[in-house]
Amino acid sequence: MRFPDYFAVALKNLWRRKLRSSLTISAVVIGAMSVIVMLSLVLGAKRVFVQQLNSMNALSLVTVSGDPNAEGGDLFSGGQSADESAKRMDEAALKDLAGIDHVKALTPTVSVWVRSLGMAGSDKKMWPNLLAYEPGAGVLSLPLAAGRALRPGDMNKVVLGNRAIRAFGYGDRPESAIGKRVMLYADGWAYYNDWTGNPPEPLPNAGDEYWDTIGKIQRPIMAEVVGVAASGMSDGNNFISMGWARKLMVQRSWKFDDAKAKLIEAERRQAKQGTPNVPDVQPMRIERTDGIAEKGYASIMLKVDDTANVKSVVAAIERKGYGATSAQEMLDQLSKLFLILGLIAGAIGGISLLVACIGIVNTMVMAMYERTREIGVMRACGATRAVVRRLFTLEAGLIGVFGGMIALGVAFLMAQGGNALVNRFATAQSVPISDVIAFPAWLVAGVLGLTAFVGTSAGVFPARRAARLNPVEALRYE
Amino acid sequence: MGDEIIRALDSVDVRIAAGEFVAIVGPSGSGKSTLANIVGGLDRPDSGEVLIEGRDLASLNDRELSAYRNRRVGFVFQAFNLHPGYTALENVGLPLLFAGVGARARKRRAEEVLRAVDLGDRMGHRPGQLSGGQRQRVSIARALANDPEILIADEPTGNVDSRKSAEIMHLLRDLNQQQGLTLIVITHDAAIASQADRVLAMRDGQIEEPEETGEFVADVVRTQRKRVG
Repeated sequence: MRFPDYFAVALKNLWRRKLRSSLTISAVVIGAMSVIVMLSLVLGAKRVFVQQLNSMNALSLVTVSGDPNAEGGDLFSGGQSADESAKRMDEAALKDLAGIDHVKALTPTVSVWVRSLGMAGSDKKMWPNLLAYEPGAGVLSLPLAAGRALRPGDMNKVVLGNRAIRAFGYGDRPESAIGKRVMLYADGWAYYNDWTGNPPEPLPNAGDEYWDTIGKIQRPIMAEVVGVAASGMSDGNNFISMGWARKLMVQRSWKFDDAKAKLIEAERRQAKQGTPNVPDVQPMRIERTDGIAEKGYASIMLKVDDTANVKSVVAAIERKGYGATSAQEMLDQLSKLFLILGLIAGAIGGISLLVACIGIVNTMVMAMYERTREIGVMRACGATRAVVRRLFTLEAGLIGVFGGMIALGVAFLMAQGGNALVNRFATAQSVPISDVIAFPAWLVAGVLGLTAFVGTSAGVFPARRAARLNPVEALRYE
Repeated sequence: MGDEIIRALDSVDVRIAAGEFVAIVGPSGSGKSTLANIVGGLDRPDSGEVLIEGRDLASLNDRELSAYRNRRVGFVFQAFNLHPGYTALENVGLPLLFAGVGARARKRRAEEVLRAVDLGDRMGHRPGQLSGGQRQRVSIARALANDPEILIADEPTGNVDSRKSAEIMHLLRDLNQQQGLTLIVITHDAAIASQADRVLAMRDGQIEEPEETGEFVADVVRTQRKRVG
């Protein structure tokens, strides 16, 4: 029997039992669909992740923390540690790290602590992460939904993150937030620093009320929104320039001044001996406490010249006794996770494919009983056992392939629609992702291969039984 | 009961010459069909030889035996056994299909055979659209498609009325006499048996009595190969 004739006969047999064939095929469609949907969700999730990392050029970034054992820090927080063995992240560390091969640029980062963040025209306040970096260093290039990125000299300028912009109600129109004022509320003494200036000098006989008043009142530090970050990996962060952070991090407070006190004491004694009008001066002086100088930076972020060199740079950093986190490492781990997820999801989808497989077996066994006499005639007309077996197997295989083809067609249309929706949503929410639902060629080939395999293997048992029928008995079968 | 061995055929020695018309008669269960099926290569004897031109069918594997059925034997069944979903043309093309004949040649040959059985105007009809006599002619055409040497007809007139029955027997006799086809007909009908060159009467798996012209050679069923058609 010729090769094309096998197909012609098998197709004809399927066509003869349209209802049953289409029901069996639709079971395969459902099975294949669930495999496709499961896999493309996992693939899509991975794709979103990689797209976001790429959009921030994060794949070439390494975040260095002082503590080599600090785990679980993300790219923006090196995982600050109180560990005594932790290395201090200071100018020396910056110089040290800059010496590593393939390090193109680096910036220190600090988190500036404020009580809450508010926006002019909104009652809403939120607890913000304020992350400072050196805009001129060329390390971080944040994807923006609106406005501009920070510039080196920017004082009281802020780039809001997605969480903040949504909290203030500008989620769907980030451009309108540009130029608006935000208030960084700071508690009492924490408010006074190199940017806001000295706290009011205590009056000579200032009692507890003075200290209480200053200590309890929250005061806003004003800033202007110059940009809005696109939604992505670090929606919770808001960004300011390192220059401004250096000022904000130097706290100013009044301290009792021993030397001055002695001086005043001396003057007072002199006054008793004659001079009547000694001015009533407090023995106080302004003390500046530089948070960065004391505790160092939160972390140092560096840019590697090429993503291929990230691993070697990370290794070099760790040899020096720092902790290093890279998006590449995260990506590697996530790739493993996604692979496992993909396998689990595929297996879950595979269950319905298995059910479809049993459906095919059932259909083909029924077909065998129904066509017993026909098989007898075929054998009498010279069909070998192999011909009968091949015809049945092929028929089952075609059920699988048709199911797979239809499933792919439906899934493709669904993916088009789904992507259009997601893209629109992403654009509206200023999320830098597109075409989330992945539909790679290997998935198409894989699904066709899988359904063909499932169909064919479902056909093996009925086909063998059909081929083994005794032709004489088959011809007598009623 | 399960252990009881039923001998469908028991020590049957028969020799059939090429071009002979043999009728096999006997009551139900006497082994008529089994004998015919063994000669046609549909069934295998548990022991003994079935020699076709000196070659034992029992020694052939499934492929060889299928090829033998395909090329050298044609079967005509009482119930026609036509494929209800196929047209007359497609039914007749079935043995050609298994012979590996291409679609176009298949159609040409099927048309030729259908015209030969006088069904040139019914080629596109399905069995359901044909009368009993026509259906049996389609099945005869199918049996002839690969130009076989042996035609085995198991009660070919059992499902048709007597007028059509005569037509079919006429057709079969013509094939036997004019084209030299070896014809083996299983029948209950004495009128049909009487047309045969020789009648094999069977009972309980054995040939009851040798007919006058029969030559019997031990353990052998034999036909001589001769090109027909």
